[in-house]
Amino acid sequence: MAQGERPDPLRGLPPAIREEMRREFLEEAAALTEELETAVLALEREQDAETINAAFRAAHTMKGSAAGVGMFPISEFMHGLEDVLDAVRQGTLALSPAILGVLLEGVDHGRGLVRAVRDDAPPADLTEYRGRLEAALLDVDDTMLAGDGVAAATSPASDLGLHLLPALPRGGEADARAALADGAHLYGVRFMPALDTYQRGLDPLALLRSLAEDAQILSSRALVDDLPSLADLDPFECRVGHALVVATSASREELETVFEFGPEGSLVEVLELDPDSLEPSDPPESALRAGGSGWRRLGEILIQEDLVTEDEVERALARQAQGETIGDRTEAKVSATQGGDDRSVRIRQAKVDALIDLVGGLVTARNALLHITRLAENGADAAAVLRGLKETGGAINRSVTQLQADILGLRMTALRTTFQRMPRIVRDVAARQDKRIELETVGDDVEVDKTIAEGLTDPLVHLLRNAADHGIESPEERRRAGKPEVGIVRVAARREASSIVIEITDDGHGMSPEAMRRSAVSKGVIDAQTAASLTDAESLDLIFQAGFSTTASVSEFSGRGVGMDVVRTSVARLGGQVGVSSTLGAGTSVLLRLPLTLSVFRALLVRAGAERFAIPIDAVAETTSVPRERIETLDGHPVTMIGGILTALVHLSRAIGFAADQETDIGVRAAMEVVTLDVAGMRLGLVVDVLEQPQEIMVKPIDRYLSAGGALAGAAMMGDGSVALVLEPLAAVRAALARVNGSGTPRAGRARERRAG
Amino acid sequence: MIGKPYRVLVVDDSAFMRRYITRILESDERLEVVDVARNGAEAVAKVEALEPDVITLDINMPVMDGLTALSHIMTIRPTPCVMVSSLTQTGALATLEAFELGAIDYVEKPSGTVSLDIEEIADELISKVRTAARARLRRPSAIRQRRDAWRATR
Repeated sequence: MAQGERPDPLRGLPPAIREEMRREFLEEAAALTEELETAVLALEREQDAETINAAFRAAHTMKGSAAGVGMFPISEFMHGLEDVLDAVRQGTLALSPAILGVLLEGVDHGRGLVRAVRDDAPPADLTEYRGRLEAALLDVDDTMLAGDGVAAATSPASDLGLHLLPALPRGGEADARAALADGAHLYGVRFMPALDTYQRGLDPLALLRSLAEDAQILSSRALVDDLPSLADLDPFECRVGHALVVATSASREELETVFEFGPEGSLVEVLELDPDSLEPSDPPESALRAGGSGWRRLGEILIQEDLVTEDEVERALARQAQGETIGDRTEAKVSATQGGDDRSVRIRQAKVDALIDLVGGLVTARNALLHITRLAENGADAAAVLRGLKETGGAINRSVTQLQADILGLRMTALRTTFQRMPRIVRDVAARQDKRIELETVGDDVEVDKTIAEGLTDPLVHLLRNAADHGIESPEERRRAGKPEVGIVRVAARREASSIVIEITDDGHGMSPEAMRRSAVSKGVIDAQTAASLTDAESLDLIFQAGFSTTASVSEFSGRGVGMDVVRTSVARLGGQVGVSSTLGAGTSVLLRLPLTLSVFRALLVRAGAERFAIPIDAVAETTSVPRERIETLDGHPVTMIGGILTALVHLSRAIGFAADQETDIGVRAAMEVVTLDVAGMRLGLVVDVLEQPQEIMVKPIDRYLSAGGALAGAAMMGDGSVALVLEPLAAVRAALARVNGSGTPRAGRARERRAG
Repeated sequence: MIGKPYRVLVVDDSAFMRRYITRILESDERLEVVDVARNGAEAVAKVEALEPDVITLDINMPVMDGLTALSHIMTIRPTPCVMVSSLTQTGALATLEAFELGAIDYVEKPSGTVSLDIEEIADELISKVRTAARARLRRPSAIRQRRDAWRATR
């Protein structure tokens, strides 16, 4: 880890704790860069104080934490971003598109620095970027140092530094006008209390409070220019002044008398202001903070409104203190160690509480069981014992079923994190290609297994980029086609039974099946005769064929398709499927269907050789009993027609390398049980010895060297205590086809092209 | 060990910092972190529910910042607070405001420019939190006035 010349602040700690803290930091840093990016993107649309604050906080926290664990390149870099955001927050730097662009770029660099630490790589050289960041800060506009909205009515040569006056908060203008309509005057006030104010036991704020009795304070601002650094600060000296804009019917002299009660030696200046020059501006931070002091407790409000009694509030508070009603917003962190990695899952406290309740139920049931045992030992009536056992058994059954569902639920995460990255991707493509694209996302609250959410990110990003890049046309082209200039890309997720469906739709120029067929033939993916036999839907599916499209061949008519075979493979690895539909001129839609969870799924149980296998049901196209006489030989390999498609047959034990050819000769028996797999467009008939019933199974990981080259995903414990090996369909089919074809490259999907006839 | 440990509430919006501070405080046998809060509003609620002996309070937090939380805490249940924040120019002002509102002490977080060894921060934090926990608090005058005004309205 690059430490620069500075010592590691954690050097005094044991190495294990040091590592743990660094890991904790890296985890949070990843979340903070996301937060920062989301906030900056939101600022592009609308600039509000809370979002600016959120962005500042993210940079600020990351800077501090990085310094705490000695990752100085990160802390120094974030310091630069923090400075810019602080200037924006203080209102001294306008948030121009250029600065937003610089900030967004900064987010990427920040992310890169975090990644570099994680991968033990040297940090990137960001000198050039740092230069631009500092240049952005030089844009700080002194005229924006508040007060630009207020001009003096009297001589500009006044002593009162007008630039010190606070701007009016939003809406303050109306207040001021209302006061003026009532005959009030508008004054600017500067109040610098004497240095020894505190020693005399006086409170400058008390003075301001008494001012507020005679005047309406429209805005205020602390003057801190006299503050020395903290090291030189004498806390007994009063060095903070106040600049105010007030409205009052009092005269200037009367207003000044208020301060006569102030500490001797204070500086007070009052100046009447020109009401016509009022312009509101964003509220300063202090005004926002003051907003918090109007905070009333719910109980007080409810009592005052006569909606509840004081007793009821007390009782509610007592319950709250016991933790029954609070806490569902807090998050607990539970480490879900899996296969030696150290990923962790964030879990809402409410979920943990529900689990604790269930465990409580189980403890009760256990006690009941012990009680029944004692009854039986003491010679209780058999019928009574049986009744007790049944009741307790039922309770345990319910608790365990719920427990299983809840614990699996802990792995579920909302798609929000995955979706968060999308606006950025679309924005980048649109900016690069001068397109106008609007992104709609639906269903970011849909929950999905964490592993699936993670595995889904890359394919989704790819599809989104394709839709924006190749799907949506340029504004001129869209205008010519009579479409609105702004193209729409829509990503919608929804839950359907035990799967989730994600649809990526664009209203771009769509794809032509005819052009797809021509292109596929010209690239040698299929021959002309096959092309002629394809339906339009099948032609569009060609886009998923490996080698169908490369970056170089992206052309107007295909519209998209870069690396679509990669998308299909990634989705298949997650146990999902992908399909495409398109209307020429109107747009394209890609549909992903994925299982909700990878841990528990329905599997077909089979026996092959001495082993029992579980095959994920999603991968199974059909099961057939094939009589010996229907098996033919093609290129020396057994094949048969299944569902009208010529399908290669391989014995399961041989497919995953558990048995040699001669032990599993196909065609020895009169009929064979064949499980036809259809994965990622590849088709294969697996011959098994015994076909059993489908069943819900829970997969446990197994050691890699036992996984038959990846063809086994894990093992599952069966109800009778035996173990079934769980097939990883994609890898298994690839391995089997490689054996059939006698080479490392499976001629994937060729079976599909040799249609019947 | 003499007597029961002081019960500490740690308030910070950064999960990393919450663990960082908790780790430091729990290394001292006289201190026990009873809970953490992620923002001022949570802190106020937890002060009422848990009645901690001492609080470490970050200043810059979402939902409700540390200064606002401090003024609420000093109103509803005056509890010694040690501000734990990083020093910036605006931070210095906020720190003064915190003292005015009744905070007992201030500990500087590590920051981009100043980096302190965790051992130094730990020594400072532990000693300040222990000292603060022993402090007997009166409501500061500003708060007392606010409370009196509030009572007058009831």
